[in-house]
Amino acid sequence: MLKKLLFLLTPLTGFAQTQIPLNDLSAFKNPSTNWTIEGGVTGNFNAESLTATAGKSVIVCTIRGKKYQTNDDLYSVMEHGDIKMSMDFMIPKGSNSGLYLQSRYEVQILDSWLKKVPNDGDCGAIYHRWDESRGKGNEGYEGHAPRQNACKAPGLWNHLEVDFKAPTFDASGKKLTNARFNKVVLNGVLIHENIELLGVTRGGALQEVAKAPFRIQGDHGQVAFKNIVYEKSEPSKLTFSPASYEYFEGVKEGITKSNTPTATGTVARPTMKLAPNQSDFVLTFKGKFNVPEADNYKISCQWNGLGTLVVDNDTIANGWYLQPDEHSKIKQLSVGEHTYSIRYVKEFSWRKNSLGIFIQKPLSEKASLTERTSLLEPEPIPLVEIKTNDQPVLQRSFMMFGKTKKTHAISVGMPNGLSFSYDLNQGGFLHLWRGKFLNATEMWHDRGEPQTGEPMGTVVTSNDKFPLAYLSNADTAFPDSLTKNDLKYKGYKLEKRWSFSGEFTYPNFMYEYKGLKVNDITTPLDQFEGVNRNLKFEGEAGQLYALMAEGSDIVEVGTNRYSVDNQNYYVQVFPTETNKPIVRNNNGKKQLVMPLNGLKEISYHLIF
Amino acid sequence: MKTTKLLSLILIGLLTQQTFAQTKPRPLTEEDFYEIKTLPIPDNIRLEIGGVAPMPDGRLGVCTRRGEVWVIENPYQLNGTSPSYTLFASGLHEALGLAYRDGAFYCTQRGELTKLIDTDADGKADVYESVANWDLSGNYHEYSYGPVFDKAGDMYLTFNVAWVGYGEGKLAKWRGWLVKIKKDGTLEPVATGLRSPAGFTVNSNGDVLYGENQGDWVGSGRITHLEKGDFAGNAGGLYWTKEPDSPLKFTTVKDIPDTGEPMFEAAKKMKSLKLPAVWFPHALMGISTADMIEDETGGKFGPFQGQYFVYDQGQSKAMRMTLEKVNGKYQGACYPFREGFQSGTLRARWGNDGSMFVGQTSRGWGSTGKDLFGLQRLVWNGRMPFEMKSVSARPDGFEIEFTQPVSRQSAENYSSYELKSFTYKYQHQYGSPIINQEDTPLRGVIVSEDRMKVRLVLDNIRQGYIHQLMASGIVNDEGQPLLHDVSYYTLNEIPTGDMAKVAPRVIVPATPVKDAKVNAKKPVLSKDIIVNSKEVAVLLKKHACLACHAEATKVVGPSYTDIAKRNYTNEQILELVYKPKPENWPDYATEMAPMSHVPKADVLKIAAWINSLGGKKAKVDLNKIENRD
Repeated sequence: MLKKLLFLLTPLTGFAQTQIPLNDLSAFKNPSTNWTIEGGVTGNFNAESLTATAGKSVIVCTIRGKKYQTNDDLYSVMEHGDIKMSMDFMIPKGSNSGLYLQSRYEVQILDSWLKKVPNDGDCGAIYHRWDESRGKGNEGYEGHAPRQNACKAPGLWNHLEVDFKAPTFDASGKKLTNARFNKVVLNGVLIHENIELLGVTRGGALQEVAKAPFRIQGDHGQVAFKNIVYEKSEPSKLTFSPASYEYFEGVKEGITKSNTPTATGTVARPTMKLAPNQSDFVLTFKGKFNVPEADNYKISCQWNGLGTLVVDNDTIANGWYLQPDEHSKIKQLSVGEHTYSIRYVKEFSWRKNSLGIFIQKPLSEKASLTERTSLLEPEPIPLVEIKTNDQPVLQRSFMMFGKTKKTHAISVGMPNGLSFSYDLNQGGFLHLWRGKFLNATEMWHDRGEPQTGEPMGTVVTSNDKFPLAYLSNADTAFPDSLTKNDLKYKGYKLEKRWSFSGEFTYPNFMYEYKGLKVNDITTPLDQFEGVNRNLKFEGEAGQLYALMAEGSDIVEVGTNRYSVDNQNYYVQVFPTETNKPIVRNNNGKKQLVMPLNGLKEISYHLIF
Repeated sequence: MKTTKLLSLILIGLLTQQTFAQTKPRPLTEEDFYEIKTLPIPDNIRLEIGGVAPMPDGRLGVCTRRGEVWVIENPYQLNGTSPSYTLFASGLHEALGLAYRDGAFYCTQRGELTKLIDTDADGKADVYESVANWDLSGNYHEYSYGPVFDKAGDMYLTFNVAWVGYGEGKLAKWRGWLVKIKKDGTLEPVATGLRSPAGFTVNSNGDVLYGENQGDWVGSGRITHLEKGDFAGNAGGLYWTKEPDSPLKFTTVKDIPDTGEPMFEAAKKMKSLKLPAVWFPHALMGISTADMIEDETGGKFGPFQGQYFVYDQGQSKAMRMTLEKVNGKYQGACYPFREGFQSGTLRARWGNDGSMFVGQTSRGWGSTGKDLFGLQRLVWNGRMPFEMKSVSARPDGFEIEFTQPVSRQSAENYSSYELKSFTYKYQHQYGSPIINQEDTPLRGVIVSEDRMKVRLVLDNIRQGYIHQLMASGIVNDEGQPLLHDVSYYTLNEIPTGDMAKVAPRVIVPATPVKDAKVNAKKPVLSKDIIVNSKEVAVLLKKHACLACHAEATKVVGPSYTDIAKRNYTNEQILELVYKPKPENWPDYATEMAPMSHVPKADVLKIAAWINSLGGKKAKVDLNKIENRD
């Protein structure tokens, strides 16, 4: 899960990310009294406020005076243009906030939990623009609803990642290019990609600028943030002069067959398009570029074939590469003009011509030395999506669980976008998610070599553990996994269940655990807040225990309700007179277990 | 096929206009005897068929690579009516086999044999019982096939090895094995050495026959009779002979004579190594052996009762196989049978009326049939094709039985036959060229009194070799040639018995080489080759190149036009034909086999023609192309 959430911030390896320290408010300009530094917060999905604990790692907004006082908004001291940001946020039930890039372009933060079809005012939306002259009821325009509702229940942490490109202006201040959200990812779900903003969204300062602070709305409702990380990027200031080229048809072992080029000329930027053949040629370029600021530049190369790049007599790359391999070198470049030469040799035709060379100043945009189309883009692969319909949909597949490929996984897509994946070998949940069901591209495109299904919504990762175990006492460790001798999978029955929304058919998984017959069925809760897992067992239950939750922490946030694993999901349990849940430590993790002596079944809810 | 159809249409047109009298009968085609009926598939269903299971009530179950099981009502489309599709089960993992028994379906998924039961009679399965499940590593190539029931009600399954640049069995238990799943769900390993066993059957004697795909340790497609403890050749599954329940004693790859000598020779040194009953010469017959099925229709499907129909997924076709037991072991011959299916013919099962349902898929695997999937029925229309009905071994040659009396004159003419033998290397490398090819000169021909049988007495019959029997000169009483003029007999054992009494061999002068342009004394310089597209067309067919390549379209391999774009020299093409480099074509699923048995002069002609297709000169007269090298 973590791996997936960090992908936006990983591409610029070698360059530093900045984390805003949240041990005080010094990163923000004149914060109002609404904003405080806390040690942590917890919430409950039906509570309208969060509960803070003392300490320093979270910034919390609590409405202390009147609502809608814009001076309660929080502005960063830092100003930014192009930026990648990521952060965790939490809101209580019904709350509303927002992240304004450059104080002007808002990604909405709102309690949109359980909303089936989000609009441009919902959580994750790029909020609409506002113009009263459009007439009453039509003031809002050019908003962008998220591709799907990806927000989690109130009181749980959400993870937001934003890749933003600032507008650009000429010397006179005239706008050259619009602001753009390259990507917005909420809880691991891509909800916007390459959305251009023709102007500021509602509530933003009207004048667009190259640089401005980011801003967090602090006057609508309670909200908490942590782990605010960013990476700024300046536009490239490199300039390139036209390059001369020579093209030689015929090559043997890297050497041209003739010393006389077939074609010569000059071109604005080097491009492999100057080679009409796919094979048997040498293409060379010589050119110059101008460096206005001295620094340690990263020069990177990608090509199909044999290539050499020399900058100022320094060989940057020399070798036989295939995309997507990238070869780079850090080189100190002084202010002024620098020369380069490229030699591109191709002696085979089974990969297309492709040549891309890039120069990047730290914390700056990557400038392409080659023409935009010279580096081939990967061929887009059509999506194969399995959708849920009026009845639960089941699909077996391989499925990644962390770095492990689970070979006997089944995914169950239930009504209203609740889904889970389950390891039939272990009788354990792998993932639970809300949103679209399953991406089957890796299974059904071409041969489907990975054969993996992938959840398409907001995922909560579970532990792949069979929830029942015979333990000698309440302190005994729960087994990490079970052998086929201990746990025999017998199949599943599709069983009808009635609810307010109709009759649905759910799989009831059948196991034999050390002689105990177990039926394991998971169904949605009435309002689709989460799922109810019910385990029925026949046989000896004297030393039987259930493991209902596991994580870095387990905090009781309501009666028999716990917030689990750093407020990732809730678990609701149902004790009896004789059987009470126990929160215990196990191998550095917290576990919520319950003895089952005397019981014939157990149910618990997972809410997210 | 198409051209002959077109030709016959033109002829019919001419005849009806009575402007031209055609007395010679038109050449007959497969379609004149065995008709392919296509079942329409609803637009929203991707019927990538992995298994076919006809039901006794006239409905048909099929399972798909997308994990669905469909029950099709009215699949015989009586009186031109349409079939109707009902989704019986879904969510399975790449279901590649289906059987129907006692009111339930049994389906093999990648990691489980599942019994699908409809307990509430609403036409949909509501119990997905795990009859047996097994480990997988997560490698895509670990396909699982079956079940096929034996008479006792136990089920056979076959398990592909993983593909990691070679076939690897050790990544998950029993990969590369034939296993039996007993009624109580226990798994019994039976035999190993399997690489890609997509099709297998239990015949009327209760024997298991399985088809293998060319690959590592497999020089060509083949069918092998598997008995308990057999090792069929691919080393991948040997890892599990370390298990206490392995029917083979502990064996490793080091125990295999990996010398590139013929498998027949290797088997002399390795007792557990099982020879195939029938080789299906790569590209000459098929390229990817799939399902097989014994003719138990009692004549409803034509004259081949007791024989086998063997499908080839890549070439979208059915072949035929006959078996006999010589010295107690199965061996026999294969024959072309029916081409022209719509997609990759993976699965075949008999319908209740003696027609055959053919389930098809090609996604990611490629096939000659252009569709991504399909379901067709092969029906015999009652007319008798003129075929070699069977070939059986004799101590001094072979006896061919025909489906119709042959013209004595044509059968006794030695030039009616083209006879040779060859084999393949047994080696860890992928595929094999044809090796040790030699002529098997005809010493005598004995035509039986009823002219239904011809005994060929040969010199140089070789035990362990594949014997090509081509009889293109033979005609029946109507002057029709054989519908298929070739068969390949795998002569593992030479039967004992009476030698034929034939006169000493008459030495007939060899037919002069028709190709005057090739001067045998001088080496052929490829730049001197004049491209003759008609001649090349003959060569492409003769050397079975067209099995995998077409001029302008992607079939199993790249089109000749695409190859031309690579700007290889003729010599480079020659080199690549003899020693293919599959890494040059990463987008193609099936590796090309080395074709080093094709004469150099022929390859260079083909290469020159390929290069004439390339480049900027898009439209050229194929007969007037100068070579660009």
